Amino acid sequence: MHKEQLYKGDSIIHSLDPRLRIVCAVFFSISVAIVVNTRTAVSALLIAVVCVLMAKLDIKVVGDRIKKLNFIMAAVILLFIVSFEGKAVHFSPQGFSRGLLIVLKSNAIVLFLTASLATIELTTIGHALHHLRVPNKLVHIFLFTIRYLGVLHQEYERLIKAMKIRGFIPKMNIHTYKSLANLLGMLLVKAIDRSERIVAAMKCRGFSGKFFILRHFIFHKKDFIAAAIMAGFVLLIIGVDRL
Amino acid sequence: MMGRTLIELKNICFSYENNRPVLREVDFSIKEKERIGLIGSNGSGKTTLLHLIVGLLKPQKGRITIFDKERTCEQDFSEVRQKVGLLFQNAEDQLFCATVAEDIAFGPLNLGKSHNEAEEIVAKVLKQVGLEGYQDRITYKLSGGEKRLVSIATVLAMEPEVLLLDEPTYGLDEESEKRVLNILSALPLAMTIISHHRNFLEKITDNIVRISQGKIC
Repeated sequence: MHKEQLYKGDSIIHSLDPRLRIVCAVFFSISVAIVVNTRTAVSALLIAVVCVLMAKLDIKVVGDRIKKLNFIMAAVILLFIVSFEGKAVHFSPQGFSRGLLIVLKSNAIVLFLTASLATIELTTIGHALHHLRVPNKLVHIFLFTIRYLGVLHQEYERLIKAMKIRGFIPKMNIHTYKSLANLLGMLLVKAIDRSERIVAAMKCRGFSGKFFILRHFIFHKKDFIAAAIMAGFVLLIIGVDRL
Repeated sequence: MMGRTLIELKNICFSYENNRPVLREVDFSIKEKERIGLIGSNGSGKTTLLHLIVGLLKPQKGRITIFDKERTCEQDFSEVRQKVGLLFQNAEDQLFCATVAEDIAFGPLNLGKSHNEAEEIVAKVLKQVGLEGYQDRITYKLSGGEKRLVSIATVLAMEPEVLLLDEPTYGLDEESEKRVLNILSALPLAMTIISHHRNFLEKITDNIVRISQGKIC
């Protein structure tokens, strides 16, 4: 269930302030998304690759992500190149360069996000978002989701197992849909019950509507350097692209 | 031998929305340092009784007096909850923060302690339950026994005068059960413990009462 293993590591990227990495990821993604020039897109991709290498990530895991992405991208390119007119099939070279630009940009963004965000533990992302002044409610929905997603998944597994040992085999029939609807309904009811018990537990410990965050982050010298470098890259990407 | 009465319930009647009554004119009290075991069949109202004491449920009839003051409204009970710690049956419900330290600090921070004081309390109670250095562990990755010990720590962090424990050994193996037993025995607090294990209760409590058919006997 919990697939976030990339956060474990001791590279220079891992040691940077999480707040900085989130901000960098946002600005990098936006600047790459508005690129119109293939050459700029290639350099953005190179920057992202360098970041992944610097984060010393498991190449197999990263490769897996890229494979999934480009599988979808292959379909996108196909849509751009091939067009139909009556019974005739047309191939368009402009479509190819358009498609290529999208592939380069999406790969650059996904790789950069992998290097910058996947290297932060999920709960730390929640705290960093809080310090970046993201509304409290959103942060807490995020943190509660992380906490209880696994619990809900366990509940689902228990229920589906209980169905299986009584001979349930999913098929394309009304019985299957009814049973699955019951399963979903049951999960929902249990989740509501659980939320009520959690609120009770919180009240018992003096909760009155305000959350407190225990730990704080510290901005180091290397974070300033990294911030300056990234700001330079982002400005270059935007500037050079429009020349 | 026993000191003053901390909690007193008189003539309590309670039923869940139009169903048959769960508690019928129940009297119950906890004195200073007194340890009471509570047994009874499933659905007999043991948990309901504890939830009434901390005001999570409101009785249809009866008086609840805690620390020499009658408690009726939510404000009364939020005062009670600072001094009466309730351990829930399921640790998953009690631990809702991402890390152990945050979860334990949640109570003290709500009570207005500073960050430093909260960190000190976290270290102190973790030591008390034998989990030193667990501060940065992720709660959902703990084992069942560890989750239970951490949830006991979250209750102790409130520095309560009375502990209400709802099946503290539920779902634990023998080893973890022994740890819980040792931790609870070492605490100089008044306690009420719900359990289905008479053996466990005999080791830790002074007397055992049974709830049956809505009455305490």
